Amino acid sequence: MKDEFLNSEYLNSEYRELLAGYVLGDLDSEELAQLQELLRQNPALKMEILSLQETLGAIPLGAELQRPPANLKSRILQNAEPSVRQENNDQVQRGEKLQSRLRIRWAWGPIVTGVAVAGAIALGWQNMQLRQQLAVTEAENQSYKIVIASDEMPSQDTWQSFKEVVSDHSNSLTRSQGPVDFATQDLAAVRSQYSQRIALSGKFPELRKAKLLGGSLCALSKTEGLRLSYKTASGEVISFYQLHRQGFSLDINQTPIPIQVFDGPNGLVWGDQNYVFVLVGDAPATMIRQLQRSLEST
Amino acid sequence: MSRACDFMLSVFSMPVRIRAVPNLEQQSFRQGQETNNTVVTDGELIERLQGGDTEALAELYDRYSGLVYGLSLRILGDRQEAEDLAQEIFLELYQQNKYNPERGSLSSYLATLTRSRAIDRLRTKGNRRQILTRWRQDMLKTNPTLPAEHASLQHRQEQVRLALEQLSDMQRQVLELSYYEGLSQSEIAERLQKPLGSVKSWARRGLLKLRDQLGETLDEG
Repeated sequence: MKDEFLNSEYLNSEYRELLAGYVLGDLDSEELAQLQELLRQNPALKMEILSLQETLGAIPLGAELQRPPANLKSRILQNAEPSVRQENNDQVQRGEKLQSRLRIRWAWGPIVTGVAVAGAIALGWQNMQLRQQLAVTEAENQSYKIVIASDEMPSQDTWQSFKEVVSDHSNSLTRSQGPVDFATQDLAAVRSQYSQRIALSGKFPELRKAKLLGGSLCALSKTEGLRLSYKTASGEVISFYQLHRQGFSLDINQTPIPIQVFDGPNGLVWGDQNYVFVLVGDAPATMIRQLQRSLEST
Repeated sequence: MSRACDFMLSVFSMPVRIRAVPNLEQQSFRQGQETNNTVVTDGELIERLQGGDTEALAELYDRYSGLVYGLSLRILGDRQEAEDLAQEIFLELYQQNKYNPERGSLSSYLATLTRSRAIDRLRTKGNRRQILTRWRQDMLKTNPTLPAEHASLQHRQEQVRLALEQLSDMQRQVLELSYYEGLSQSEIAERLQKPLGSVKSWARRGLLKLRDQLGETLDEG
């Protein structure tokens, strides 16, 4: 098979479409497995993927360029001055670091995904998920490489919701006004602030081993809910979501399922009849798990 | 060296410094372009950025602000948000500079980053439809467009426009819905009232054809 590939001037159209589907983010799990095998046998095809990524990235050149307002350039240059730069860096360093890690993985996708699976296993999740299949797929626009250990293939809606949760978490870290809309250390105050605006879980669990920073409403494309932001003793901001179930068709139950974004945050997802809960943060998987346990015992 | 590799480096190269040049033909193409135009390459500007050179940032802004701002505006449909995003993208390029020339052109990198951030913003807000309606109304009014200041970028714009014209209407429509509105293929199938299989096929073949067209254009050039 390898020789056949290397000797052929053009790839067989089926394989070419597979590569295009990967770049477009529309492969199903079977196709993704097929592609991973193809790349394992023919590493040179990574260049083909890069070339298709490049083509996709060229599409906006086909549209008219728009002239930005005249003062935008000076604003950007002013903010790039070293003093301002240092100030900005201190403020947003964590969040931007996370965002860039989440979003710039636009090449080497299948390889990265493979590494992520290996990472997931290395982190000890196999104890909980040993007999379950690792279902691997990717976010729609190739921005994220998310791995979730589950015995069923999540639906597109579920993937979309996970991706948006991760995105919401990372955005919360870079906002100029800080990670929360309503800052308080009192969980009851968060509840009374938002209970008129959104249905909240009766349990309303609290993390014990981290300090509450406050709460924010969180609207995703398929669901909505509340984000509670916590800070751990070692300084990580952890987001704890309680979301209405409609954005998740995966059979999420009380057994927490690990989520990992490659080289990004770790998370756990679980749920009850009406809500899905997600803990996500740029912290080791073991810490997320410990936090979740502290929450269970509340 | 695969054909794909040759293609990628030749079609999309702004004058970016390539660390691993695949063959002499490519090398002479690149050097000739740079020498004739006496242009500071994107690669040189990126290196200067790493040393904190704001003049390099200003030059890169002049080259790519039309692309970054235009794409932001098209996706977000709101001028203020588009400005904020353009600022975020250029400052991130300056402060963190994660661009790797071996993986493609700077314009493609900036477009990919901008699109991804813009679509995330849209989804966080959850009011895509409303925004797009506003955008369309807004864009139909007068809107200053920007000729590319960089001759090489202008040339590539022309190549991409011609290549897009070669796609079938459905291929182009599906790619644009996916690219600019961030719709999944299921959402596109629903919007167009077409089978999902057809949508997938249009998108994949459209992308492949676009790539092949861009290759042919270059060969002719």
